[in-house]
Amino acid sequence: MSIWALLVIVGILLIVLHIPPGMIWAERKVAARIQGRWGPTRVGPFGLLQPLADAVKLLTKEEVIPRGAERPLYYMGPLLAFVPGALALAVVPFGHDMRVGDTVIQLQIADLHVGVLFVLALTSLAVYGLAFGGWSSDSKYPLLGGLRSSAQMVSYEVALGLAVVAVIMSAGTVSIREMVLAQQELLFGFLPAWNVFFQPVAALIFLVAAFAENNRLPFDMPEAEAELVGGYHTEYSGMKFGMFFLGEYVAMTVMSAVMVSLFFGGWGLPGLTDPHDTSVGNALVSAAVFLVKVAALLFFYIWVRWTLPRFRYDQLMRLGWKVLIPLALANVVVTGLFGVL
Amino acid sequence: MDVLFLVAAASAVFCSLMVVSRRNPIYSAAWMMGALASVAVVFALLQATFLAVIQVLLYAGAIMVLFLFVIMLLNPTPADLAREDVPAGQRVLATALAAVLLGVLGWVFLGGEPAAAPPFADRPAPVGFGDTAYFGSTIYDEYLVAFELISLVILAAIAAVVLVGKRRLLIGGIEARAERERQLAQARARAASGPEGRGAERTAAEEEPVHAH
Repeated sequence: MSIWALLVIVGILLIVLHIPPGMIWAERKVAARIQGRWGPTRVGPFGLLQPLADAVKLLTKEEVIPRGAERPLYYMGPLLAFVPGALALAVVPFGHDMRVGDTVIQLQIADLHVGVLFVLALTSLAVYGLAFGGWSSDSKYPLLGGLRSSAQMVSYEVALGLAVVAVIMSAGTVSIREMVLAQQELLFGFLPAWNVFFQPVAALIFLVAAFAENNRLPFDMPEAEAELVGGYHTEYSGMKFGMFFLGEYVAMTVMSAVMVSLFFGGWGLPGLTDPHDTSVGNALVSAAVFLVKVAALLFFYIWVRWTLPRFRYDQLMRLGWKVLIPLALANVVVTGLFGVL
Repeated sequence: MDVLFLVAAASAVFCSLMVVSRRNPIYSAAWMMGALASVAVVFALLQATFLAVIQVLLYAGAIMVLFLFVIMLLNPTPADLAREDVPAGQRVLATALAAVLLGVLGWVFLGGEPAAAPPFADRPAPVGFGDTAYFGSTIYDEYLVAFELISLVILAAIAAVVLVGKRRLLIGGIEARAERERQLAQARARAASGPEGRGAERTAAEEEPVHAH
């Protein structure tokens, strides 16, 4: 492994670990805006140091562990909620290649030839954190939350996977890197050739299913405060609760990054980035474009959370099984027909 | 590579032993995940990347979650778990069969003469072996008919499961509706024969729970 690959890994890790604090701040600020409040203003300028204060609070808080908790699984829950999601970022390209001297550096940790399947496999493991955490707490609300999470995430994974199948079919590859490269041209001279224009239905299904996979409102059934206190993490406190929190934001970042790569041209923006240029400047601009796109999707997550009410559990299941999955299947068939014609 | 294989294989064996020896099914499920992940690593070491990922995606990500869901739904209490309801002699029989299996495997692996060269050394893996495209063309070009036949068999199994699972619900529903209609007819007959005012009142009172269904 070259020193450059190591630098890329460290760089991506640093970026990813800085997104959750930013998200905590943004979530508070945007929520406040939507509700006509100020949000945090006292800790640092614009309350920017609020996440730091939150982290200090979580780290120094007393840990309360229920007496009947199944310790090994109770400890594993927060880890499993965080680690697989973070690993999935390894196959997402953060920017265009850059050439330094004679070496070409990919701003991507690993270009696996199973690409997007790897992401699906790892994000599908996040459910264990919620399920184990919920079960091992020895309390009825977490148990219900864990149950809901396992049913919900398995259900929406199907729709998510089928949406991705349609994209794979029209792109002709499973490598995320190749998919992004294929989206760098222009359509009719003005429209970026992003998959969202070829696969609008798949993009919509992916978006909805991503919300459900990440347990975000309007699909945050596993932790519905009004019904289940805090759902699967009711009995967690201190940094273990913080890990669940972190895991949720990292999972959202992963989903946004994958969605940007699959549907919104990845690091490319016609006019700003040049797919044939491998200079360092172009690579840095492309990385910035990528991060801005991810940030836009993350903002969308927050926006939706504070605007839409929560679904009822049966409505969620009906939407997943009776609307999204048939729609995704039909989309696959239509994509196949276009491919044959 | 060999070190990685040994670690993954040992981990798979250890996890499998833990799966069958845990009393609490949740822990069995957790160890099962470990076993599945270890086997995925073995697949990846064999260049079967696609299989490795599918192993995690389908088995660890979907099937085990369903297992977990059922276990959590039943949520056995410690009293349930402490109960011994193994049929007499099952342990002895199982141990004997395991010993036979172990003996056969040991005989196969250790008994023969060591080969001069590894088997299949003269037939290297084809280009692209194990990646998604190769896997797809193998299934959908070379073994299309077999693959579709298997799909049919699985579909039949799913249909059968639904029928078995829902039969009681289906028949129960039909009986319940017949019962409701019978009650409704009785109530109508009484209303028609009885005195005008009281009959109408009683019919309304009797029909209400029927409508509530």
